Amino acid sequence: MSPKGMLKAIMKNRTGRIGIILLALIVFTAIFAPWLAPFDPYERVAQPFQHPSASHLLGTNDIGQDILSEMIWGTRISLSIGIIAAAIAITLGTAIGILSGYYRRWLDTILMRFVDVVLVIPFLPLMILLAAYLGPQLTNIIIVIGILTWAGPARVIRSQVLSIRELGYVQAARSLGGTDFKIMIRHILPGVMPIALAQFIRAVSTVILIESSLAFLGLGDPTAKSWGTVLYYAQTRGAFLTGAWVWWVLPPGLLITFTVLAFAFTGYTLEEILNPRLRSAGPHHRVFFNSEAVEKNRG
Amino acid sequence: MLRFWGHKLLQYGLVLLITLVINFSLPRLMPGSPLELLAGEDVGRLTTEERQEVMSRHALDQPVHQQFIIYLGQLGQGDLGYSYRQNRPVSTIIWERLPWTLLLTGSALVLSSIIGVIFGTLAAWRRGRFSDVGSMSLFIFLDSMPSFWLGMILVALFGARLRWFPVFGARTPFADYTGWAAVADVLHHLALPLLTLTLVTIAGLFLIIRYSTLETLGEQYITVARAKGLPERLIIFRHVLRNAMLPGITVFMLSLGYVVSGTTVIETVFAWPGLGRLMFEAVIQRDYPVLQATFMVVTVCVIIANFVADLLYPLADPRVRTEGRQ
Amino acid sequence: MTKRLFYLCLVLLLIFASACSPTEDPPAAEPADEVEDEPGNGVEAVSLRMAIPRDEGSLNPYTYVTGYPGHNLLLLIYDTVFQLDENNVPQPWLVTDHEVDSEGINWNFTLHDGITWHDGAPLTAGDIKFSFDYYGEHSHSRWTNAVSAIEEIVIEDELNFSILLSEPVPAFLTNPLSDVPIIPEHIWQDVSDPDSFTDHTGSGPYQITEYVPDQTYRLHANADYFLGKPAVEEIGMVIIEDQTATFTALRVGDIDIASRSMQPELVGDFAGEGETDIITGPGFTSSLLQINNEREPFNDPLVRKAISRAIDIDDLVDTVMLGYGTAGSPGYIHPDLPHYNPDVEHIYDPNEAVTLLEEAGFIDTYGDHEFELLTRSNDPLRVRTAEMIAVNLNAVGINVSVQALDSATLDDLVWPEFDTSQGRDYDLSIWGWSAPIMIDPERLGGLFHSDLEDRGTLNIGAYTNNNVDTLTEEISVTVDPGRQQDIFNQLQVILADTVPFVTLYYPDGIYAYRPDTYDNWTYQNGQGVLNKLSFVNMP
Repeated sequence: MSPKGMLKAIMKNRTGRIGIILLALIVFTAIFAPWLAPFDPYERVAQPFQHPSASHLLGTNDIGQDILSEMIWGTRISLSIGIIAAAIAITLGTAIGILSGYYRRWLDTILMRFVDVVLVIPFLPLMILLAAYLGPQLTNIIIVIGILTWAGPARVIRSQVLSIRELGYVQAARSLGGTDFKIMIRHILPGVMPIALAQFIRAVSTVILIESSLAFLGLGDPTAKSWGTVLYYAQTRGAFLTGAWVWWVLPPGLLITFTVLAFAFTGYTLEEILNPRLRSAGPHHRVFFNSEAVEKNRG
Repeated sequence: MLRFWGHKLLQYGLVLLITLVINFSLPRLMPGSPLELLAGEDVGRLTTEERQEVMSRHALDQPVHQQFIIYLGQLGQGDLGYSYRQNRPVSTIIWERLPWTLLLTGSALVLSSIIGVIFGTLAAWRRGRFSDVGSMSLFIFLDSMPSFWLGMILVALFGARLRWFPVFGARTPFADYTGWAAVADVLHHLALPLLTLTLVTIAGLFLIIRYSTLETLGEQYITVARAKGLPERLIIFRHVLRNAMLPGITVFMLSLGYVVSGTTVIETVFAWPGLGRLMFEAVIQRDYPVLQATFMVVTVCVIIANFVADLLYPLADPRVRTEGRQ
Repeated sequence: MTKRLFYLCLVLLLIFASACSPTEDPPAAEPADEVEDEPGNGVEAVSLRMAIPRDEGSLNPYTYVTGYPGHNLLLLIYDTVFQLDENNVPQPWLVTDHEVDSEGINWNFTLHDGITWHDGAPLTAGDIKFSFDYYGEHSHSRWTNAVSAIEEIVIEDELNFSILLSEPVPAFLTNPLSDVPIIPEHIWQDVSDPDSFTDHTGSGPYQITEYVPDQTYRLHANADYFLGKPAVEEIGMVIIEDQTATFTALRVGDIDIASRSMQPELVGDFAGEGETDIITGPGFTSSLLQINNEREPFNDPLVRKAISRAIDIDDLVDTVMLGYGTAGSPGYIHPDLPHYNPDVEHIYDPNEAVTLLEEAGFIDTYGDHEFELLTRSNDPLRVRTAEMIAVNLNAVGINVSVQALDSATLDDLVWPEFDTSQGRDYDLSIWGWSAPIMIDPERLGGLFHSDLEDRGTLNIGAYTNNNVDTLTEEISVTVDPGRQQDIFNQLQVILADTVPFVTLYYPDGIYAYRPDTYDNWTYQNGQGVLNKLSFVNMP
């Protein structure tokens, strides 16, 4: 299915349409943040802890930065975190899934046991460990989340590869003497692309949630203004104990929710489209729930 | 068949061993030192000899492989060591925390599974209609919320503002309730965290059940049954639900493994005395024995749950059994 | 159908909520009512509930965990020979009389008559000797060093004893005598591994009657306390780690006071509202910009001075602390302390900073270099402080980026193994020291002496200055008050000029509490309300 065809199909579905429209809005905000935001979110423009007013629609934060501007810029940062980390995870997952599913036998066993191990390693200490070695900046948090969330998608992709490799055209290419590498790139990869895309979309939403949970626990990068960071400051600077939660806590939380929702709607719709008979009850269901459970429980 | 399971067992054993090694080395690879926990708050004043004395008391001056052997030896005797922070056996601490975690995450899992199964089946049955789209949207929406955010809003609203529910902990401190009053007290405290955790986890099972029900509905024999004019209700209960539940059971089993690890975030928001919070604090404070032990308990549970799910699945679904044999 | 689904959800939620909330009998509210209904004597309450942020072990001198509030709680259960009053002047507590010879070597004490341990056994001079000897033999980071100058303790009779020092200790009455708890000989005499000994029999105004690890402590008033029964009958301590949960609990009345100092932005919502109120006062904890004096270009005092000139500390106090703090003195010492030198003053002058940097040749070599300013990621006030300092420093041409780290990771870079002689790996870091390191003048040697092996145990920036070395050595053996003050003044002038670190501010203590339950708190200057004097009157 061509990307255009996919988009068309998604737009035909009600939830899919909502997802795509929300996504478009979010991406628009992210791209045009500098023009949309009334202030520089890193500049102290007023007294700290101001209530909403005409000049600061959502008030100001704990050192007098404009919260609305933080929200708008946060779109860019949270979205980048989600997309980049998910891209890392899916690239890794696809590569390992294809290798494992294509070669099978001992390589498959080793890689899949490796996946098992990654899925059970406690997330938090690994996070701290990697952040300590790489440095605590946002880029490294992205990398860390990326390399900690590839295992679930790898399983899904592997099972897809297992069925693709038995298909006629792959067998044909093989008997014609194509090298493994060529077959994997030319025939297997295009076959798993749609599934990988669906996994990617879902990974983005998982990553955004993980980042906000890490920020909440004080393990994020508090100097980068993601929505999670804004929530962290709101929470630690008493917004829940004062009236400030209405303008300081609700907006970032809702933005996270709607962004995750937009990706989820799009992703689920895409999955339904890709699998008209609705995917067989194979391992990817398990993995799906696993990765959710991992996110929820580990975060 | 026996060989197949033997092989599986071996594989899981290997995973267990690798995770043990990782669980042991992770804390020690993390930067930072447990010395402050061991020697007391004014640690800067220690002389070099005193430092060495403290470290050797806890075998931390030994080479790492030596420490690992000591650790394995203790583990073999069921000894999980002493907490650096609490000066108590780690096993005692874990036994204290475990019931609370099981209570919270276990009941959330059961609740969200029940809701997920009921609504998943209903939604599939009404595919494409508003009730399907509506419930799916609702559950995905709930699933999209940051759990700590939802939890804190619930506390602010129902705890601090309306004062319907307590705002922290698992029991009223110093109340000394016994019998039913104690149970009621715990349930009262459980309500908000349970609600939060349930709401954000329904979507998982809901979607799976919905998908697999849809899939079963598309199967040949259902079409045949319908053609025969069997009542819809009968079809749902006798044919569809039974088959559609299969992936649900597997997922349930797997999630059971993660139940033990608790939910650090929810436990933090509600000051719930569970394992997740224990693990988090141990990470922050570098309490090696507690870290190792909680990691181990968690990973072992996940591995066992995986193994059981692997065992159950082919028994229930003949298609996988044959695939497994190849 | 949609409606039906909606109602179904609603009903399900309601059933679930009602099943979980025992509305018929609300036991959760009962104990609070009981407390308020039963009148104590006047305003004073029978029972008080306090939140503390973490478990403090079994709360004996070897198992308590934190300096604050752990040490403060410990001293509700155990007594010290002297006690710091509201102004941190040591006053006799367990003793009635004391005298000292002119060299400050030989001290004579007479114990208060009729002091007993919680188990009824009498507290005698033997227990005092035993305690100090025990701390000398069984190393503990806080006590062992404090008693190291004690040469010998001679028991004359049950009540009289003398302490012989190996060298004069100028603040001997403050530390160890007002700091080190006295333990009962008859209980500790056979204990060889104190780290795993959990008994907490003391002689203090409160005794622990119940300890549920990780959850609660119950402290009961010691009816036989030698200074009279304490004002509060029972103190229930609840462990709540999360800050928001703590103050929510205070607001709804689940607790009556929180040990942790409240953040300034909440003052407006808790002060004078009726049910809750706050007590504030100066705090002796410090917030610093720690500088690695070993690393180029910060080994040049001119560069450090430029950094100091570049920082607008008044803006920090106003913005980060919302005014609830005192601007830092460049001599480190808090203005409320007797040995503070009012002649030193922080100067904020970015232009001078630029001139100083030019003079030091900084721009040519380091104009493009980016320095890292480390801070703890879980402390939002410190992160904000770091961010504002980065703006200040960037404005004068020092490129700084803020790096927020997990606190153990930060410790590992700034103070590896908590041993200053093991080196350091950082440029700049936000740091802070606790109140005892401000109050005890002897600690100045620890902070500034260049001998990192033995003396400069807190000198985490490896600051080196020969005059400071000599002066801190001298102060640790000087007993003459006039000479002492002279040295303190000189020290602060040198520190202000050579800038080992920049003292940013001293956060105020802000304690929120419920006055209806108990309103007799004593604010010990710089150290807050959690002390014996809040419950027992000075003899």
